[in-house]
Amino acid sequence: MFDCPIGNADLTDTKQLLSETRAYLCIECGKCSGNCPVAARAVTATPRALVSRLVTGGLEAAAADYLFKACLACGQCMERCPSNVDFVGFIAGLRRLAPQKAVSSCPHAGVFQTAMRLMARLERPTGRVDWLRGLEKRAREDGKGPELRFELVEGAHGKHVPVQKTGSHPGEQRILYFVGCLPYFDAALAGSSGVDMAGIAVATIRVLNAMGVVPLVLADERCCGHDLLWAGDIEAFDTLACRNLEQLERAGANTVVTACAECARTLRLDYPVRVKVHASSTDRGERQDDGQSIGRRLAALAGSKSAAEFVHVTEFLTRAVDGLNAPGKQRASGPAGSSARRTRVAFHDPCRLGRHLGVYDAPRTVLSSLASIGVVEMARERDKAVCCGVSSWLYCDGVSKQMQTDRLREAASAGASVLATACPKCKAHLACALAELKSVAGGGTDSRTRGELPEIRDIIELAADELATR
Amino acid sequence: MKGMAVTARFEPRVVVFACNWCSYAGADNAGVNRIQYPPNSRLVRVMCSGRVHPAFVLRAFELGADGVLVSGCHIGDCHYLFGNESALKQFETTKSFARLLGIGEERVRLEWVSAAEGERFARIVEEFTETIRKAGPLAGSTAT
Repeated sequence: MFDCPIGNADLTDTKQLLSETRAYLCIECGKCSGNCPVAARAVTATPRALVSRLVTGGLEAAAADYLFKACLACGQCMERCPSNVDFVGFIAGLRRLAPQKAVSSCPHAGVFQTAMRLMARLERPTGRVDWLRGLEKRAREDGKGPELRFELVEGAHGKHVPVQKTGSHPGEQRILYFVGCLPYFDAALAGSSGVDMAGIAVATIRVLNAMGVVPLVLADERCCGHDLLWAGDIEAFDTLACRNLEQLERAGANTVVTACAECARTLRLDYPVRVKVHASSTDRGERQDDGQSIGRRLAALAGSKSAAEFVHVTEFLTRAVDGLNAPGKQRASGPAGSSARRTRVAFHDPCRLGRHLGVYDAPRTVLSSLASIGVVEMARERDKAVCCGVSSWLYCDGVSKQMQTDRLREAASAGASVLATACPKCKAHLACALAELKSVAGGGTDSRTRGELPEIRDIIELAADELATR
Repeated sequence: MKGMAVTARFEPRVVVFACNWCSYAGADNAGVNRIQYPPNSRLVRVMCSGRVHPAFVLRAFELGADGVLVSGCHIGDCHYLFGNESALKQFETTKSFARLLGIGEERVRLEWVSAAEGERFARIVEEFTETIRKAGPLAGSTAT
């Protein structure tokens, strides 16, 4: 797990960036380039060269580098670096400092990042409730289980309401499901590429319900800000963090569950850092603004209960699975008990869940507890897993497509008929490549690309499907 | 301005995406025929209404628009045969985003205007401008 210092301080100049991320210690050995999935496919891209470009040519030169936009911040380079350079922090800090911002230039024309900035800026209630109600309808229609149960927590309609420390009674578990950007992905992707995003939310609520949890859901939730943080837009990130944390505080949530690897990372690692930064600069009396500023509001959250526990849904589930597998209890076995009939599933570790948060076992525990599933491992798994090819909706080109195609083939050669992941974006990106491969293979007879490629599912959807068969 | 009565009337900023082949010519037609319509709109010419990705519309809102109108050739009249059909499809996504973000569906609109329909263009822009005027400023500020 690594905590990158991008939010740690008020980053002011290149020197500070180089020293805080230990990039000064780079010995130019090039191991990072050897491990970088982008560099493996684009010869001009090497992390090492980007560092030296910043040192010799300054911000302008560094921002013109291919990696400036194409780096996935997946952290592969950091697994090998003998000088322990925090390259992931370096790239995020560089994007923050650079005069020209890393503009989203993916096939979605930057629609998600624009939407995120609008979520930060607009002081009006969002329209998520209708979408959430749509989930209930969908669950009723697919007949895979009982009615969805969740409790909506009304928003303050964008207005700033002083946070009341109420909510939970001591000892009471208040579990909140942080949905993330699924409604937006659903709107943009379901129609065009047929990638099912709403299904992840339905499955998550279903599984939580089956565990006896009726999760709280924020009606006015905003994007966690992950993508803007990694694109270098720290102001918009702070606004989103502030709005979400205040709402979580008001809801009195003490456990926040998310089905998105990026939300999990951002809520767990980056929010506390920003709260701390603003609290300490307020303490030092450096703030000249009124009490309504985002910085002050974030500072006010320091020491509050908003230090709720943020967990990925697989971690949350693992606790329950551990309970099931405890000595003396019989392991639940589904209808497809014999190992021969089990669906072979490979798990694709999302960067943010794996290398960023160090969560490798929880998703595997969940998968292996599903009776209808046999887990297979791909050649590159856990800390060696390769990124899904696109990060923060920032950049996508032939290199990304190659990474995705390679990953799909890797799953196929491991004998998997399903490639499971634990991040909606991994699902979207891999499914996009899969659709493309299939359309290319089309009526062809190439068996390597037809029929054998795995289906892409989210791990929580597999868990919900298993529940439906019980 | 000093000495003048300050009217509190909100002047909305409207962005109109018009396709090169029909709607832009329709706007031109309105001008040639000297048909009056509110001056609140900024016209952006695109080669086809099918080019107007949801991201363009959201970007307009991000840059301060209060309403966005997308306009193309009538179905069946598209210079590129089916560009406006893909505009229609994409616009569903645009509407979903507007709904989700709380911008509201009334602030985005898709209309077909042919090169001969100057009158229709002026009427649509006038009506849309009034809708946005009623809806008020998007970001809560009244700056124009």
